[in-house]
Amino acid sequence: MKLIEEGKISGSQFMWLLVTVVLPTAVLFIPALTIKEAGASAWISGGVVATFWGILVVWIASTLGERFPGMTLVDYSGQIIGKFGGKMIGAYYIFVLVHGIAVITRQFGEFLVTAFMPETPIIVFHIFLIALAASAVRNGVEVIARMNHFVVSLMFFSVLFIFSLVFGEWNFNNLLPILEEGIGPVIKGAFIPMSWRGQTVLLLIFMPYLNNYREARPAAYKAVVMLGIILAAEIIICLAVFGQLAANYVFPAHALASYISVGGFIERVEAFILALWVAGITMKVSIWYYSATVLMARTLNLQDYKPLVLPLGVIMLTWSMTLFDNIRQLVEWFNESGPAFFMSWEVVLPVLLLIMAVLRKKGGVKSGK
Amino acid sequence: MVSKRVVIIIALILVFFLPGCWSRTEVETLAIVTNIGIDTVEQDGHVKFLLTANIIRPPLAGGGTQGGGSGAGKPVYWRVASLGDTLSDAERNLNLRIPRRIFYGHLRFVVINEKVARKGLADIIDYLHRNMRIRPRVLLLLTPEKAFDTLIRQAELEPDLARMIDEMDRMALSRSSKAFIDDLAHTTGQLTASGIDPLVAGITPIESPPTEPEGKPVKVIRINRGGAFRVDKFVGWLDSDEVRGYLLGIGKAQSGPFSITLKPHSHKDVNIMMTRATGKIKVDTDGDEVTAVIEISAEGDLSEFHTTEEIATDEGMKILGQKFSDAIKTEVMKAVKKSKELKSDIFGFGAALHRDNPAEWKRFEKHWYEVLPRIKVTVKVTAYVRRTGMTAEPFKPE
Amino acid sequence: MYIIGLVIAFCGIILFEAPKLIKEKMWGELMAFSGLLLFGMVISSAAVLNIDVPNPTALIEMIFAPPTKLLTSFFE
Repeated sequence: MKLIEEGKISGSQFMWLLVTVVLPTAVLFIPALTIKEAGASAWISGGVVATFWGILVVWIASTLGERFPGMTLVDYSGQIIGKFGGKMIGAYYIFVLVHGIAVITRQFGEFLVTAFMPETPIIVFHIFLIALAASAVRNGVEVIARMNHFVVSLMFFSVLFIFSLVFGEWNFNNLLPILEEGIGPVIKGAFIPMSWRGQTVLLLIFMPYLNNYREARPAAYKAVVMLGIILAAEIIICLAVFGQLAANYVFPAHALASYISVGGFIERVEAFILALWVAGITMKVSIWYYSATVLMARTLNLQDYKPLVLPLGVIMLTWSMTLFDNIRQLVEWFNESGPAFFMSWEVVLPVLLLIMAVLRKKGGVKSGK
Repeated sequence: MVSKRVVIIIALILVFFLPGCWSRTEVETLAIVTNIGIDTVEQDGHVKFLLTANIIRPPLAGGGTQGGGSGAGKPVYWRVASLGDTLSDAERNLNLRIPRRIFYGHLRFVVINEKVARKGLADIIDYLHRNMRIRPRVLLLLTPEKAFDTLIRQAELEPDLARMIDEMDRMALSRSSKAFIDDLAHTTGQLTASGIDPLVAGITPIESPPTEPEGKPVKVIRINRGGAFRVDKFVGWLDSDEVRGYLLGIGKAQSGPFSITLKPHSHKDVNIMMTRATGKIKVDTDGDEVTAVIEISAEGDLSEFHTTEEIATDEGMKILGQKFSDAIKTEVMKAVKKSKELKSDIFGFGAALHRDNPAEWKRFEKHWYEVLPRIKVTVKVTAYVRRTGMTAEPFKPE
Repeated sequence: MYIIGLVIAFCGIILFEAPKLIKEKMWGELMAFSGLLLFGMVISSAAVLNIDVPNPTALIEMIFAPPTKLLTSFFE
């Protein structure tokens, strides 16, 4: 039952960690993908459907986590389905996380190269991002949580800043008609935001670090709802400003930022916003990186996770360069195999573990603290 | 202590990389383009794009001290053009001639030749959107002459055309509402949405009498019309009154003078200055009939009165309001008529139907441009004249 | 050319981590560290030398593309 690390985090830090687990890349990619599928009703997909899904994911994950307070995912999986099974689950999550970081890094690199610095080799951004995240991971969960608290508030500010400064261009007629093609396209368009929202399942990794594990559930619900509000607002505003055209942009949020013009003097603010996004994505990668590393240390029964940081970084860096040939392949991958893949580790595995735990009467609620 | 030393060494190495960026471009190496013009030219049987750019003239070497007065004769910009098979090709071909990178970061407007627009805007819009430096807020303009010529016309009161167009865009709606310069994002949005077509501001090139003592006539531009599109192809012009009718209909008009006739005179004898207006379009269907209602409410002040009778009464204001709303109605109907004539759905009747009644829209969508001329449009105006300006009753010469 | 940079980078990582691990006799960690690093070395050198190695994304696509298709087909 011993943790890899002594760090402790508070309930609000936990909530902000979960927000960062999803938000930074979601802000960049979700509007275009969702609007493409669901058209003017995209905000229902991204805001409403995905939020309910997120609440479901959180319910499952925190019910599972609360049965085994203070234990890590690998440990209680071991108790539930045997030692070997536990290690297999650990290995699968490690793979998912490392692969996920490679994808996030690539998204980040593609964004910077497309929108800001077309002449820089993309690997330069990847190296700096992963090196920064590696240093954060070596400093431990407390440092990440505190830094994240600071960065995420700046990100919130930047997102609100963009939304409010284009208010002159809002045309809510673009949101009509609601549910034109019925509920089908809305659900279909919701798959990608759902996969993103489900990433909050990483709360399983961070629950053991909480001062009081009872704080996990409300904090996670709050995080999911907050994400729902932000993403729904973002999609609504993208639609209100650009209409269906938003689906043609690769990064609608960036287009929004570069569309800002207030009184002819607040213009060209996208570089300022970029700085905050870079910070946000660095935090997201740090959190995923940290999860992968401690999970691996626990799976291999190590005393210290720090020696694993750099080798894992090398793998992430290589994968970030080799997994996809071009940016559309990445997007297509999300569309074509994303939903089932994300579901497998966000919902299916936790549900199976939970059912097994209940059937085999493992864990269970003991005294309060 | 090994690790500490390693960290220090890495930090020292990083110092060499961190000050400055990889893709940096120093301002002295940039040719800052403020506006571009797009024409097509036939050459050896191929249609090629002619891309014209106005580039800000870099300060002349050593010109720092003399500066100001002596440089006043020269315009601040410099026109240059080049041919290419595609627009990107033409853009890079500019660099066969000029020693600086073409930089679009400060691009303010794009002028497109009418004939190019007749063939379709889609190619041009794609080029503009795909470029990371060009903002969605770049303004679009159409010109009947060659865009190449437009870009060398005299800017008035501002140092260059870019500033001039920018300022005109900012005040067009609040001064006369007779012109409206839309931006790239909106135009593209209307182009790609079904049931609504773009209206792009049009330039009329004119030769003005001398603007300074002992000067020569100058060639200037006037923004006084709008080019209507069907899907992405230019189909015809609206004059400035029709543009205002259009702006009133879609609710963009803000302010502007309306000259109306109160008494049967040979000339219009009253002017009402509109101060605010809103417009809304509602479309409904009845079998195969499509009906549209344009609801406009407006307010205005009396700004000129050429007759001598009493007007500063409640009754008088009501009469003026009635006349004012008739004038608005006429103008909107003129624009609607033009839209039907050109079969260009600039008002977005289709989009309004789509919004209000998606099922019916499905039925009409396929042959919308045949339906468009048959739409029964009614314009409902509620207009009030609120104030009479600084004088109440007119001055009576006795 | 790139391979030299890669070798330098790997030497750096080993020098950074390994001595401490050996000194503190953390053999488990050392094993994990070397295993991971070896894997990293293989895939990164393969990438630099333009050798195709099996791609995990293709694997994910193989396993998860059919169920995704099934899922989305409900909402056509």
